Amino acid sequence: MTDNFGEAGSIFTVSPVQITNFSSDFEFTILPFEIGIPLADGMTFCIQSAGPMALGGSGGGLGYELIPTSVAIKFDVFDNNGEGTNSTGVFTDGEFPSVPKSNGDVLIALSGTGIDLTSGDLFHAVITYHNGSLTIAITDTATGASFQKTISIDIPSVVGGSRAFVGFTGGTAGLAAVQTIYTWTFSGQGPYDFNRRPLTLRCRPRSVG
Amino acid sequence: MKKLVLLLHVLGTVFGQSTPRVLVGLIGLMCVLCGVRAEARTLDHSSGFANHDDLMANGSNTSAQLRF
Repeated sequence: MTDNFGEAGSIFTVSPVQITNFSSDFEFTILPFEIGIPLADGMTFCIQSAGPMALGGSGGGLGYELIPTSVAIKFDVFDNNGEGTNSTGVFTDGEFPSVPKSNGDVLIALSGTGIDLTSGDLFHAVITYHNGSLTIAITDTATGASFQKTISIDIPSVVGGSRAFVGFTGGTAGLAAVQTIYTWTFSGQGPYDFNRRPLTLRCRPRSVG
Repeated sequence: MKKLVLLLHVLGTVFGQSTPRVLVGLIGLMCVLCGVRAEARTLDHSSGFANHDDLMANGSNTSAQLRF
C-alpha cells in the first residue's frame, strides 16, 4: 500500500461486489520505513461506491479521508488527535479516521488487548458483516494474541446500495511505514453476476516488502 | 506441419476427401470450447486467484502496487 513518505495508496476491486453480507480475510504487516523512526500512518479495509479509482488523503487520512459513500475499518499506528498509536475503528463517508466526529464512527483502542499494530508482526484480520453486525477480529500470528469486537452498522445504507467496491487504503506523511497486504480473500454472500456463485478474490504478492 | 499434412492426407485416403475438413472443423470447435471455458475460469473466482484485471491500484506517489 505504501513504501515511502507522503503517500496515499489504494487498491479496489474493479467491479462492485455484494456487501449485504460478507467476509474479508487478509494478512498484513506495518513495518518501519527506517529502523528507529516511528511508524505512520496506517491503513484501512474500505467499502465504497465512489469507484475503483477512489483515493483519499495521505498521512492521517490513511488514503481514505474524503472518499464519499464509504465505510472504513482502520488499522492506525499514529496519534493524530488523541487516538493513540495503536487503534482500530470504523469511520464513514470519508471522515478523517482519527477520532469519531459523527454518529456511527467508532474508535477502538488496542492498547492492553495483546494486539500491537506497531510490533512489525504479521497480523491476520477477519472482518465479517452479517445481518447488520460488523465483527473485526485481529490475530497476531507471531504471539497468538487475538482481539475481537462487534458493532452495529448499516453498511448498505452508508454506501448507497447492496453492491460496492472493496479494497484497501493506506497513508504516510512526514513519517512513513511499509504497509503490505500479503493475502486477501473476500467472500460476498448473495447472487453474483456470473453463475450466481459467491465471489471470492485472493491475491498473494510474489515478494514481500 | 509436415506431419499434419501427411496425417490429413492419410485420413483423406482412408476415410474420404471430406475427412480433413471435418477434422479442421472439430479442431475449430475445440478451440471455441476451450475459449469459452477459459473465459468462465476468469469470471468465476470461487476457487481461483484474482488477476490484475480484478483489482485496481491507485497511488499519489505510485505507492500502491499489485504483485502477484
